[in-house]
Amino acid sequence: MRHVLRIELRRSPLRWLLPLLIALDLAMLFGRSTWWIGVWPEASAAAQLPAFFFGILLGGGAAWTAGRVHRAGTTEQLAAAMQPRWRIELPVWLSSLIFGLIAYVPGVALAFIVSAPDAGPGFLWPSYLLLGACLITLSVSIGHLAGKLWQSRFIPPIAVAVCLFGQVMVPPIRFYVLSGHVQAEVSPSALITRFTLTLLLTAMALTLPPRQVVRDAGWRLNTAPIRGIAAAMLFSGLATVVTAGPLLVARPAPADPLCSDESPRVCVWPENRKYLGTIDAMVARLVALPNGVLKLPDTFYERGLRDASVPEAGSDFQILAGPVSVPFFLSSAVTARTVPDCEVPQDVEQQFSHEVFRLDAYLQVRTFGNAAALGEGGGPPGVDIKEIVQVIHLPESGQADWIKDRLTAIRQIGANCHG
Amino acid sequence: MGPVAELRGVGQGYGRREVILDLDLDVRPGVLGLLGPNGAGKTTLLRTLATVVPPTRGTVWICGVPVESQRDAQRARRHIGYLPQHFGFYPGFTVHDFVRYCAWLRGLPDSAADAATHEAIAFVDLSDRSRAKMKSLSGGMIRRCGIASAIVGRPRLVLLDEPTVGLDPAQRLEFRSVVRKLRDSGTGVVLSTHLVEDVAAVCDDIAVMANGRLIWQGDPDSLAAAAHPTSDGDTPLERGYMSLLAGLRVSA
Repeated sequence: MRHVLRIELRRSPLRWLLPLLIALDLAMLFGRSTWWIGVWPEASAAAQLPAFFFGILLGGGAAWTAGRVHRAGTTEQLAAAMQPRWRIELPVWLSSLIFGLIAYVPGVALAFIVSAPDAGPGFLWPSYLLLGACLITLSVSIGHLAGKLWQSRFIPPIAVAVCLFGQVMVPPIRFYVLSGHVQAEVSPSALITRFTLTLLLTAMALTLPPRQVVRDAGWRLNTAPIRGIAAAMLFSGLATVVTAGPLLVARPAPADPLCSDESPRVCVWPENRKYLGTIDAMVARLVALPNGVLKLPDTFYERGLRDASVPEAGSDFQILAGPVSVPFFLSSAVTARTVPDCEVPQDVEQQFSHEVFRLDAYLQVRTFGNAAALGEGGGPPGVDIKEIVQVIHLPESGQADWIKDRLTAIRQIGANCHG
Repeated sequence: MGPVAELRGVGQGYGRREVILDLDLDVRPGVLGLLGPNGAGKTTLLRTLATVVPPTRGTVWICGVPVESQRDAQRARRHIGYLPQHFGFYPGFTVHDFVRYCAWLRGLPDSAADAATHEAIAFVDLSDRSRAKMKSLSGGMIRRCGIASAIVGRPRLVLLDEPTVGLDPAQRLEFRSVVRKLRDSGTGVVLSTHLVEDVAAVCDDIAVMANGRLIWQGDPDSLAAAAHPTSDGDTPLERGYMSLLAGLRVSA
């Protein structure tokens, strides 16, 4: 069969599509974002995701390849072949799969190469890479099956696109993840059920006879039960995937998180080592304010390192799409400790929240080092964001005075303030 | 030498429609011409011999082995080369790739398939075009390539369904020379055709079918001798064939 596989690889229409598949793989890897670089699980998820995008194209190509039997009119010759049906289909299916995997490899290799310098010892996580490979296999099998079932040139690729794109609408049966944050990992049971469903679809793609052959019947006089059984098995497979639970599940906290030596300490998941220095510098900017105007915790923890039942765990920082999200969490944690606990009369509630917002926004800008921490959004009506941003250009003592003014204002607005 | 294929009491039909009725036939080494009007059951007979469809009644033997199940059919196909009426091919394949692919379909092991492919391509005089893509070939060359795909691995039974349709006179002459070479190699060939002159040129034996039945079998001289003086036709063989069909109409 190796010789026939070589023929299929040489003659497959997918060979013309390969450069496009690779281009799409790399474009989706680097074109969306680059914050995943240097964090193994994020890089793994980023390398996996393009399989969803080029999988649709690949599935269409597989459908076109499998449909050549109808276009070339070789069903009669294949029906007279000594080789069983599945062996005839196998090299065709396999050639499509190989082109899909070839398109997948450059993205995976590049994700590894660009991540290795910052991510430290380790490798891309196999579970994410397997998920991508599973999606590629699924795309090829759906395409192959559609190409066999419909004689039309256009319906099979459209059917493939609908099937594969349809998973966007149905999260429980998704075969991809958008990101691989360190607190999560691919659930083994979810991965196994997805592989099982893929194998089932592959078996159907290889063994179900094309429609033309069904019409001619031949030795297979009664094909209705075969199709009924196949449909029932497919339904069961889908149900198993749905009941297997979410694709990403929480990871147990590491026994030895990575922590800085400074005070206050910053602790992150070991996989986020590249961000430790950056976050430490953020905390250092808060510490640098004179006269102890801010109340800082002893340690800033990344989300998931502490048990969720710890009262302060809710304000632990998260690294979402890079460190840009961290100032928000750090400032929230500091504000919660620094701002006194007051009873706020209803008529001054808005004034109170504006003052708290001003302080919180300033802390974000101070922590991050510039106004990018606040993103594109403005503040509530009556709050001048530009004025807040200007505060970080004041001398350190001036900034400390500005914070004190905010805290004084908060105490004056509120009633029975403590802390 | 014994028959390469035998049919005994074979019936064949699609649904309620009977296409072949109670047919007995032996296919021996040499060329058997299968003549008959449209709808006579020639293609169905070839598909039955090719084991593509099982007979609804009776038994088919291929190389002395009865074909009674799909498993039997798949074993028998090792010995059968089949060029269907609507011969399909993959335009992007080269001649070599396509014949090699058909050798694999026939179940030839890799060790033997390459040599068999070269032999089959040489047999139909396409060696100089073996690297050419199928889509670049003329109609005659495609037919020759089809024959190469049918004879690769030297099957003992070769079934050719209307192989000269659409060929120009020169291509038909080329085709006949290929069939003669097959005959000389001891292969059993069944040639289904409407063209009596093809039968006259290459066949040792002729079977005439009409309405799903075998109405006559004999050598070309006997068919020519059966000609009625007033029958239509330009050659004795054509007149013999037309006489048989006319006799059938009268009896009906």
